[in-house]
Amino acid sequence: MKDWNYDNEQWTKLPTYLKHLPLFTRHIDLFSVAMRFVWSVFLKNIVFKFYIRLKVKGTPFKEIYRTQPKLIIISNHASHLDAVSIAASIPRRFWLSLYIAAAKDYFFTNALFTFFSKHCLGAIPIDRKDRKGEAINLILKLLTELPRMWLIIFPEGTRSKDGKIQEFKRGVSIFSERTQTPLLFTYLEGNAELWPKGQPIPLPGKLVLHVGPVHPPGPIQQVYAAYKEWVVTINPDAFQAIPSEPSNEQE
Amino acid sequence: MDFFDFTFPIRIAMPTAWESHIYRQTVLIVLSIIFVSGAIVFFFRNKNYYFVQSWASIKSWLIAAPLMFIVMGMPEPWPLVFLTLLAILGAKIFFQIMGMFHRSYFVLICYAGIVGLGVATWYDRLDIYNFMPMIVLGAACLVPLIRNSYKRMIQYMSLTLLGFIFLGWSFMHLGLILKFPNGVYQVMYLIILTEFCDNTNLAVGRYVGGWKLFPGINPRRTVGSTAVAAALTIFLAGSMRFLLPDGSDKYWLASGLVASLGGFLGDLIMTVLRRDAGMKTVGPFILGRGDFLNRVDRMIFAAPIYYYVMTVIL
Repeated sequence: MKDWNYDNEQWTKLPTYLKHLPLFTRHIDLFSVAMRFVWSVFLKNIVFKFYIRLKVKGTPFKEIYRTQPKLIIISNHASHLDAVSIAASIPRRFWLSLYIAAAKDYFFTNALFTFFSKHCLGAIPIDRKDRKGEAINLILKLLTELPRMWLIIFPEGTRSKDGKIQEFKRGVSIFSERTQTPLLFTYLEGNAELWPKGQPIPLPGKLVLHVGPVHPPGPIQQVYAAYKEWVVTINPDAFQAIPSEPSNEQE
Repeated sequence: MDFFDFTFPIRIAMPTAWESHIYRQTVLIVLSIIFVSGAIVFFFRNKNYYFVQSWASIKSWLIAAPLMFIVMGMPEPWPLVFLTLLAILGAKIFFQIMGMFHRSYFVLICYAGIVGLGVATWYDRLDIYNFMPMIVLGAACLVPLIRNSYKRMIQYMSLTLLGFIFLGWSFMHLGLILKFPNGVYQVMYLIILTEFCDNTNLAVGRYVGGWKLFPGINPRRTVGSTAVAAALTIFLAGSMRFLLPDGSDKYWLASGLVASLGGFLGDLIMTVLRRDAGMKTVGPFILGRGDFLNRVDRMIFAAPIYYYVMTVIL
């Protein structure tokens, strides 16, 4: 008889804060599946229906899901609503392929946040002070090995203070180019007004998620330029105004 | 709104345990022992391996014991619901250790079987209770057909049945014990005795040596430490015999022996499984030493043996 092989590396080789990620089993554990379902009901059927009225414009996610098994979803980032808003706009049956890159120093700071980040958000902890590249390797491994994965990531790296879109950090392009994963442009309109930085809870109101084109992998400057070009068609004031040269002409 | 006002049939045949002065007295005694032990061990917590382990164990019980008393003191069926949830949690950790927690069909069949045991216990259907392992095995055998796959299915079916027998059928005998006269007290009695025995064995292991009983499995269990732990557990069983409906010698002696030796066996068997699977622990249980399965592994032998000793032999 063949020796039994216990596939328990998920529980033996991973630190606690990574055990929810399907790095060995390729499956999300049963408890997380149940928690994600409960969370999706709360988010989609209660919060984003009655408290915040979310509207999705652009290409339907169902259509994108059919053609794009792997995607990096990028968006502007001005509030804690952003990741959950994008998640809420994605059909529930795709949720098990959905991951969110989240700051480890914020979303994994205490037991309650960690539980929520792991089991409800499916968050991948990103250590912003990481010099060893653990987070990068983690995401690269998941993007390479999982048959389906949609990763929500905010290329600005942090929330914007004034709601204006800032310069993108390199990370997004690294993930995209190394794994040849296309990028899906999305733009959230109204997020900064509903939950600006420093406010304890979000205000009720309207939020619009614009779903844009799927962009091929490329260097960050190229991605930023393409994203800017698309967003300006929706909201011309979305970006920081570049101070113009003072005019020398005498009137 | 009355939290306990339900529309489905509930038997409030006995008052909640909190209404009994014996229960309150027991809670006070046990919590005092834990707090006093904690206060003493705290000063030696970094002295050596044994104190480190004892301190970790006490820390986890400082949180777990009050929770246990609160739930066990609630009216029926909450103690049984609580035990069923604990059995499911134990099964979850078993499947994680065995690396098949992502095999959802098998895991759900085991969970459903445990819920079935809870229901059978509630309706006093011992026949269904004892037939449940066959139902679980039958359901597990259908999974390869549903999945249309044969790969490693012997392993998965066997481990599902093993997990169900240990963490379901065996552990849920605590639910059957709940049905005894003063059942809540007897369940608490058994838990306290087995936990006490394990911690005592650990604490005296450094000072009382002798042959190593099973050096290939657990080199820390010696004849001396096991004998001393068993003797102290029997002494504690005698001291707490007021929790038994019949305080005569044969009952508390049998309880002490079952808790010490049955608990010892359960602990060793689970160590065998862990070592074969190459897994020491899944994650801490609340705080402190080992995972949740470390806390309940002694029950997989102690609970059914206690049940049959009390119902058949005595």
